[in-house]
Amino acid sequence: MNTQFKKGVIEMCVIHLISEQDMYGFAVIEALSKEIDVNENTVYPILRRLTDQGYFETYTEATNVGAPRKYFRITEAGKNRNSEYQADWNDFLKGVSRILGGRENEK
Amino acid sequence: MKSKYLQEIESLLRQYQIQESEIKDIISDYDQMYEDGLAKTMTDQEIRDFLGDPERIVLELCENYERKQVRNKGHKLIALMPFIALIAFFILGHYFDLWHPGWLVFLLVPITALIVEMLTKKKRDILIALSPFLAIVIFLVIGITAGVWHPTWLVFLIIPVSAIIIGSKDRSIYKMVVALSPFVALTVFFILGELGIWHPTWLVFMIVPMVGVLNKRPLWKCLVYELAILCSIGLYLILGYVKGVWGMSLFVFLLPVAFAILLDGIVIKVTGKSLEILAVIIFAIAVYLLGGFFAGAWAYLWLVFLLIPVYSIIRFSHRKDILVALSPFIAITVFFLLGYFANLWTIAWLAFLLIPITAILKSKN
Repeated sequence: MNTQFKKGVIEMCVIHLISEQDMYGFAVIEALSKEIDVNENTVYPILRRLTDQGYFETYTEATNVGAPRKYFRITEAGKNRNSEYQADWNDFLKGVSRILGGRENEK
Repeated sequence: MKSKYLQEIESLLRQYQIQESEIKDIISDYDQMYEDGLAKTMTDQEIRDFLGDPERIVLELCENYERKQVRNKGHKLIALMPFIALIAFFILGHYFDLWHPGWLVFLLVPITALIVEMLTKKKRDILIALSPFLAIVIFLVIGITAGVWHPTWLVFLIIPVSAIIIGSKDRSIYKMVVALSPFVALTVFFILGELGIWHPTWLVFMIVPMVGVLNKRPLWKCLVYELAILCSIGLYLILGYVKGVWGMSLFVFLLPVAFAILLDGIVIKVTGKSLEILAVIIFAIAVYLLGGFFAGAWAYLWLVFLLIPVYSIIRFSHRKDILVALSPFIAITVFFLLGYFANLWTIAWLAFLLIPITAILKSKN
């Protein structure tokens, strides 16, 4: 799969995962890699970029052991981005299905 | 291991113009993620694989940052080097009548640029990047002064060999020996071949599988494989020399293959990336050997080995870095082809100007 395309898909998944619940970095990579073949190098940089772009905010929470953990929480801008992504993705999938011969299913 | 991993990320980040607080934040995040991995009883290697390679991480993180300017002294040296080379060229030519091969001093221009550029990266990369130039200089000096072009071209083997020895990420001596064995075999083969004993010198290539199975466990399997290979070599020589049936006796080499199928069922486990690289390596070796044996193209077909790093750069490098990363290989190819086929060594070095030109054009400054 094209790297840029995959990066875009991973970005969408990261926003979606964090829109469902606040998560810390390791858990995001773990959740993604369970389902899709992610390029581990890109997950944290994506998290960081999306935070810089204002889609996430961070806060720390104490743990039982070691230093406090940094959690990512979705912002309003992030929620809007998530909805846009969902709509774009559904349109994209419908288009692909039609092209690949699923026109009958659409009717 | 954790501190080494974090240090690696930090030193790579420091090559970019990033604020100190941001570097600290990134390192702290990776520190936490590493701790999370340890808490899940993952090994250091598993955590490293899980979190990613520091070089790739920093490339991704610093997409929008500029690299720091290399030390001013280094830049001054790059700027001065064409003039220094020109002066040296005229002195060599005018006073010592060494116009040829005195022009070789112009190679100092790209070599200086490479060294200065690489000083911001890992030291081991300097040697890998310089190996093609070192090989070319040795090849041309011996070729021009002694006229021994063949088998001096063997010196080009230092390109893959240095990449294996210096570039190897895990410093396992065994893995290094396995990777080097084909090149050792090739060198021995040509040196003895030049003495007129091509056959049965080619059997030296059998050291490749023999070294390859040395860490096979359990030990008895390793011994069975080694014995099978040794027996097939012995049988081949006996049948060849005693019966004179060299062609038919090649079938004895099916013996170790049969053992491999019986004992292990020959399972090749390779991931996508390593499979691609392996295919390119096999392709390069096949082209080199076929072209060498059938067209006698040993002296220039070594260029096909440049396909290995070139493929790796195109396939796995960041898109915006591809052209700059490829420029040394393009320059070497143009330089060598012009020099070898058109005997334009005296001007072919101009191809190396492609390296700084590409770097300047791609630079945002």
